[in-house]
Amino acid sequence: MKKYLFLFLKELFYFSFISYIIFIIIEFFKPGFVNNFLNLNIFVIIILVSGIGLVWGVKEFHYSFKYKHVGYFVVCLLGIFLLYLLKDIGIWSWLVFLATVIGGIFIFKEINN
Amino acid sequence: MSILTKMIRIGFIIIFLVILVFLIDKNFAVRGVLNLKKDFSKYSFLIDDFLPKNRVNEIARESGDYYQELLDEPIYFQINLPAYFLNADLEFEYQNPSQNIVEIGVEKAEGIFEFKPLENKILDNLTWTILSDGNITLWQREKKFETISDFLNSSLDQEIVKYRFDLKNKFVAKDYVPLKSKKSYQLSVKDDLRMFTYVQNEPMALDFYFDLPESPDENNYFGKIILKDYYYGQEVLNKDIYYKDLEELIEKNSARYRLLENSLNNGVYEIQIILAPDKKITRFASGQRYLVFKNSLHISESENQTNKFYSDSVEYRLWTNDMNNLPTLQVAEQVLEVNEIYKQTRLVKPTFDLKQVKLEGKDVQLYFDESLSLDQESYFNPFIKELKPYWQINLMPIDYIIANYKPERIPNDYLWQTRNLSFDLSNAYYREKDGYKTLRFIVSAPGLADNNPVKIKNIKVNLSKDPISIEKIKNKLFK
Repeated sequence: MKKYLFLFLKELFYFSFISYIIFIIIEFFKPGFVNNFLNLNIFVIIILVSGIGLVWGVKEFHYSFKYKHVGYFVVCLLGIFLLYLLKDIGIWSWLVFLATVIGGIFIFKEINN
Repeated sequence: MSILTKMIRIGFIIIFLVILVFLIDKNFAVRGVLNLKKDFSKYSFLIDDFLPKNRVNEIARESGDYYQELLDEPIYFQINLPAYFLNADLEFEYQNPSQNIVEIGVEKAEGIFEFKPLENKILDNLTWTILSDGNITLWQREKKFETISDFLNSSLDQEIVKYRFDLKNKFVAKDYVPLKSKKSYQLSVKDDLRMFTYVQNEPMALDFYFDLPESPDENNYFGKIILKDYYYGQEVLNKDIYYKDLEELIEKNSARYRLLENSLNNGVYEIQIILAPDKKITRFASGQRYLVFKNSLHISESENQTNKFYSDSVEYRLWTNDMNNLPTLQVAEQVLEVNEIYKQTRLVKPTFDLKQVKLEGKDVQLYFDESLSLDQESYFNPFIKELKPYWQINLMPIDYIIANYKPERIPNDYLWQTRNLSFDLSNAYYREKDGYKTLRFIVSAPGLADNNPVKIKNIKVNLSKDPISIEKIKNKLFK
């Protein structure tokens, strides 16, 4: 059962992470396209929750990822995008940004250990 | 990759596609519908906040619900749309303890709004006989008509009041005798003028006297004159007035524009004069027995500071920007003194009889809600009166009220209530803002500043247009 939960969390992490990046890119080119109708912070929460689950699963099942460097690249890309998008806005968005970066680094560090 | 992993992945891909389709539909209104909501708990880009901010209170919270209080009118809000829509259904959840009339308008031309009633307490609480046909309602003090059509097909010569209903009566003056010679009136005015006159088996002859600049040339522009048949709405004349169109007089610095129409049908005519910014009319001469002004008059700077009028208006307002010449208005025995500039000061005289109106002051704008004439003999009122928020219907000489409004009585004025309105947006005025089409709405509640505030908890806007079809896309791409 725990294995299936890990499998689900892993796919949920991929899904939320990739969707988030796609939506951020769309938002960059057409501001308001996503944000006016969908709160992107929901994806941040899903990424963090599923990411923590992923860390637990990797340790529990000694899981090893095939494409570790792709993960680092994606986190860096996302960080740059977020930094650009949030440069003019308030403290709450900066906190979300910081949480995402710290969470991302933590998750990938733990996964790769 | 296991089958289970594949299934989970396909599931998430489907969810992603559903979200993407949802966003595309919301942004391009593919299905032709868009539903927006503002509940004041958070900022909404699509339905902007109320403006100006000094006419509303800060957003407040009461038993978990957020609401905003409207303190003065008019108040505006905008909705930002991804496309042009044809229809908007608005739903307001609000509380209105004491405001007689609350109306919502949508912008149809820059600064011009089409209003619809959200709530009219005067009509809601009226206990007369009611006839309804769709959204149209007829109130009768004494029941005479069986259907609304019977009423509309009648002569309409009784005491009728209309409310947000387009109704005109064909005015025919009884025992009418045309004037034998022109009457002259001293009145110095500027800006826009709206006048009504009556023609019955006679030509229309009116003279407008302009002040001349020191050395006018023939292309010196004085303004525009528009003459319309009031009942049929047909334009008879639309003419720019230049110096070459004026007859220069022996009197110093004065010239006359003659309006002479010999072959007009009998009826009421509207004359609109839009004066050039630096021009003014200083005198009128009228060959018509009846001549009245409507809406407003901007009295210009003149030597003669006292002007006498006659009017059956109930509400009068004065506006000036000259601190050194604060005006005074006297309506019958009631006096209104203006103490502030850049602000409209109001006087209400709640009777429909003809009253003498004396205005002392120069460079002052006078607003009135019915007709206003320059002497008693030239006064006439061919219009069906529009219901006003401060009227006490049972005390007025009114027999019928027709309105584009469905009355709804509520047990307690302090209850939250929900009411709906529908607007045709096919000729609405859209502005462009950051790639969005912005539509402006107005909330009007006359006299709100003197009453309890109106609280608004929720605004829902359901918009509709034709859905996007493959045919349409093809036409756009390969046109």
